[in-house]
Amino acid sequence: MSLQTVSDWLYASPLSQAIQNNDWVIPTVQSVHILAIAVLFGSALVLNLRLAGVTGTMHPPLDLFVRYQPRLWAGLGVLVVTGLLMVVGEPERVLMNAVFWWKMGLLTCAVLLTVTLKAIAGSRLASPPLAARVLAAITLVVWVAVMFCGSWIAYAI
Amino acid sequence: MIIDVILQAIYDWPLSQAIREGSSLFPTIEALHVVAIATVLGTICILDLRLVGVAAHTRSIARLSRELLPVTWGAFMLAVVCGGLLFISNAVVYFGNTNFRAKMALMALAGLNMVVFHFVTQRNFRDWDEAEVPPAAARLAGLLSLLLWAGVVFFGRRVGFTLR
Repeated sequence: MSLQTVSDWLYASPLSQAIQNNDWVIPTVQSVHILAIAVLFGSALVLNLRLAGVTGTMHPPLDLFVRYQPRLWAGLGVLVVTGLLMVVGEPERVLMNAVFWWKMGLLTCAVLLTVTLKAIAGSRLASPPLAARVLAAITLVVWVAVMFCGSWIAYAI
Repeated sequence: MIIDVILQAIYDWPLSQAIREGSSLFPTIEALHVVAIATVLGTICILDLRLVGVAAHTRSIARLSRELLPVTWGAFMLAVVCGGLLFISNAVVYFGNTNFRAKMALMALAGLNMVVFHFVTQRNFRDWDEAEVPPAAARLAGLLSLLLWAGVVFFGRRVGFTLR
């Protein structure tokens, strides 16, 4: 079973046909996707800038994780749902696109890094060690790379 | 009309041509534009959700919000520069595009909302920042901000789908 087969099968599905036949769906789904990116990245910024010691230093890192990480995951949930709708609506454009798979790889890294950083914040150190600061900076760069890939999907076919 | 002459002249700039005809310049600028917007909205929504009273807080986040302001402004300026570069590459068409005009109008309103909040409502920030539910004017400002910026994203996305 190849990606092309999956793509063809999805394209023929009723949901895909419904999305294709209503031109307002894709732009609207993309807009919701971007708003969810804002929620996720805003949360990521608060968490990672704190661990890097740049902002919010009056709050213990764990406090900020407790407050903002749920929003990060909620944003990610909306991104997965809207993302799946886009895959179903335009399967070939997405699944047969190398940039999309790069994005998925980078996304996996960003999620793993975030989980790791939560564990570090949970260790209740008042001032995060250098390794944590570096990891936090790298995590932000990876999130930006994910966003870059997202924009480039449209141009890489 | 003078505006048509100006727009055509802008379209004819070497820079505009370079962005229009280059293989990766436009996509890269657009990607940066989206990252910048996500940063602006992401940092703004932290304050807006607090204002609307959605996220229940036991402690004020006023200081954190203020510390994030340079990030918001820096990202906003990056978004404007990128937006400007994208605009000049197809000035005539974008200017005439209804969705583009709606986006600009909503941005102006969002800016106005921020000015009103900053100079009027926020003067008494310290009185209500520790409260669970802020006063009505603050909640309205937060809600308007969220709705207006969501509209900016929505119409911004539609521009790409409605170019002739």
